[in-house]
Amino acid sequence: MKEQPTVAPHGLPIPDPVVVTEISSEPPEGQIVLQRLINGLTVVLMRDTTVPIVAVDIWYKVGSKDEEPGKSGFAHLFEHMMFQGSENVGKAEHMKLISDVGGWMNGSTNKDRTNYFEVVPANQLRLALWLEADRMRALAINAENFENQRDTVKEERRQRVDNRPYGPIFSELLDELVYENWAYKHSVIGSMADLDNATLEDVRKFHDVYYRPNNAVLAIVGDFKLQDAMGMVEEYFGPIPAGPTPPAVDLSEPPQQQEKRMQWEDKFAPHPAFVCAFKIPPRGTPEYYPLEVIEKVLFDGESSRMYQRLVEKDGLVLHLFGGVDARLGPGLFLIFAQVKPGHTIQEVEAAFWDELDRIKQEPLDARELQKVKNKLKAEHFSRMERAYYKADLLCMYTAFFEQPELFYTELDRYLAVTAADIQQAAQTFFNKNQQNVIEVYPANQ
Amino acid sequence: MKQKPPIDDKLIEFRFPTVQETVLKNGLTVMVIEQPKIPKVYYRVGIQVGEKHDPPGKEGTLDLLSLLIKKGTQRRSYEEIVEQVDFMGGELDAVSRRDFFYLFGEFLQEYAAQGLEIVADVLMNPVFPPEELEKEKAKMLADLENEKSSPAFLANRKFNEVLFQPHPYARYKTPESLQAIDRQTIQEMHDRYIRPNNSYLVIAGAVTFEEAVQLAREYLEGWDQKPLPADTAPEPQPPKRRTVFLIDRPDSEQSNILLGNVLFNRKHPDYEKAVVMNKILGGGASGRLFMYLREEKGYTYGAYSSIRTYKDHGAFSANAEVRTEVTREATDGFFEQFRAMREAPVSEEDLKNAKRYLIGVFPLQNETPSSIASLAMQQKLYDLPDDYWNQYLKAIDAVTREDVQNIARTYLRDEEMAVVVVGDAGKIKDSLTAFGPVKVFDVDNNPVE
Repeated sequence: MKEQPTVAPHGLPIPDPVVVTEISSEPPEGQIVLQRLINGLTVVLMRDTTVPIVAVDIWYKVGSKDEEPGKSGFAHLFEHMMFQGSENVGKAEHMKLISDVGGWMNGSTNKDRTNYFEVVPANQLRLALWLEADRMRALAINAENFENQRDTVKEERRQRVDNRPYGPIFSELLDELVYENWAYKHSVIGSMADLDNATLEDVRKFHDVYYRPNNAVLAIVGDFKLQDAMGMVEEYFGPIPAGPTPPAVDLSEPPQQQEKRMQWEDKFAPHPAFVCAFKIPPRGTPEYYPLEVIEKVLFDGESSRMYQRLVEKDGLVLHLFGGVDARLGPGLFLIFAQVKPGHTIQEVEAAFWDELDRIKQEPLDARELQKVKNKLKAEHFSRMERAYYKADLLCMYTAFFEQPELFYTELDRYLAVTAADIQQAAQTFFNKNQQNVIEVYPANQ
Repeated sequence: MKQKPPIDDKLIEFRFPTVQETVLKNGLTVMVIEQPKIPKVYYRVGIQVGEKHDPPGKEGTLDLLSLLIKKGTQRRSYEEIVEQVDFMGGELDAVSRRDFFYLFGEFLQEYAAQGLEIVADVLMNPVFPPEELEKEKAKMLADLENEKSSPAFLANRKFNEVLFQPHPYARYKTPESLQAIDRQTIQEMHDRYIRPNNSYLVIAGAVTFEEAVQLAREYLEGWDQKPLPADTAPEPQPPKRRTVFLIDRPDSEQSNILLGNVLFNRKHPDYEKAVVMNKILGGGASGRLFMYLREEKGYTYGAYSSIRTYKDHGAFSANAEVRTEVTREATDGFFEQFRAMREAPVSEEDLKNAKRYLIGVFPLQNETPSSIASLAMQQKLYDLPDDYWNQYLKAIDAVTREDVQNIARTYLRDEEMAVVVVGDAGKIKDSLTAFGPVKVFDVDNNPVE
């Protein structure tokens, strides 16, 4: 085992070997240690002693994609339940314990997975692991907590979806328009009717099937000694029994043959907006990488093509964002453009297609290709400055791909993308018969 | 029986990274923090010119300067600047504050030199294009209009005005002051203050001290120094007795309460003790104000206090947004809690928890090269001792229960507080006379009879 890290072509020092599964002594900083407990819990650890802090991040391989029809919103509702206490932790105490030691924490649910994390001073690693294990092992599932959180989620839905300008577009309308398969077609937050129909029994079953050690990846990144950390993990998580293997979900989508388009009247939107999305291949496939490079060309930074065209040059747009929505199954490449008073959705759409046609017809010159790769590198490096982001990347690569080494090697896949790859991806995925458009109009105009 | 949460009782040890320093011939102080792990380089320029230096009647000048500084130089157009910065995997931004002006740049390590060259160009040769000035002014005017609907904004503006006047911390932007600013105003401010002998440069990241100094010499030694204007400002003259400043927002469902008094500046030796006192009183969801006004009384969603310290002066403040009908009771609640802080020492446990939080949160907030660079910069700009950040942690650890009580007795001066309330005057004015004379203003800050 070499102590000195080597430097990869992209400039980041990488340990050799990148991943170890057998440990005899303290691994060098940056090396990924992969362990599996007997109950199936995958543990991935990385030491970094720059600052005396440690991040604990746990991914449960369950998202809204795993919900059955009629049970939408369940994975997210369950995330709320995880803060309502467990055998040894009172209601809302988790948050207080972490913030009182100077730490921060949160949880989130998306289509593909649910995560929970804590970042704490290095000497409080035990506290973070104890808290996570207690709620994996013995969550307080009772009618009072459940009713209470169901109301909270309904209130959250009112605030974030139903009463916010453009709120329903990305949380539900777009996926309903684009997808044929229920797995991604329904929203993470769920429908009011489904939330109302959920039962306490459903919550118990959900925990029994999905919140088991064999369906989770635990990452620990920061300043710790490996033997100590693994000792704590064994002590707190080791006794938790494994669960059944959760059912596999079919995420496949039929190819889109025809354009889909809808008009949406938004009660709160101050200005019209143009929204367009194309289906793209799953994250991690060879066809995926050029699309993320295209995101940088079109949308990243003040010199990006769409920003320069729609905002600076043509002055058609007030607010603009776009790029990939990467998923375990088929994802999206999308744009949102809020139209400036005095201009129209049609003008924005025409200019948007002009820029798409340009990227389909003309290869990027060497400088622009280098620019977007530099952007990708800088973004990747920035994530690597923080323990939480590193832990989250390790969870993703391990939970989705069982390849934690992608933490170091995936960047090379982006940097290998050529001008021809970009042109080909644009020609393959950006065609009018594949577009899904939402024209948003303020309701009172 | 429930298990006890396994909290480690020890306080975390954290050594602030080494900062190496040199001064260039033109007076620019360069500080270097070697952080080789990630191949990026960070530049942070801090200049001792703040919004307090805006010419009187032209408030907003430095803010506009910060927005325009990267919109074109004698060598580069705006498009060229953003393209080159993006090409280097970079970011470039400027921002103005009460006391200081900052310019930030970050770049991939291989573009360390070209990156600093752009930073220097933007700093030394901006042209402030007139059409961009008009665009930014228009945006700022729209923002001012929007801010009038923000109770928190109105409360803070009034609070600073009444506590600090006639010191320039009391001044604020208006449509008239923005209209009075032209390209010349901005150019003059740049010419007078954006000078190497008034500035600090921190270079952090994947660069050695020698390389960093070499780069600074190459790109910034040509920046001309110039004698600086004398920095004199009148002392604040806050109200001598407690006064209520009520900003009338008819039909408000809530009252926004902000109260407090003038305090020492950032450099004062009581700062760390005051930070500990404040953590116990009103720093977050475990503070007494939160526990009392929210958890016990249910007047509000949250109640907090803070120690605001600037270069010249500071303020102690406490705030909450409360239901209109409990405005008086909630205001009383603040004073009750201030009194309790003065009358009895805090418990050992409260003190220990406050220290654990303050010392524990410090490394979490200072994880990245740019946050470390920011602290190194603060040490210089606020004229704090060398090695200040290590001393800060020790000073927090050394605070005693008696210290906390003494600080509360010395600095929580109920009888001199300004009590600013934004709410429906028709419903709350009479009840507020309990706290002192009440002066009423509209949302444009005009007195109302």
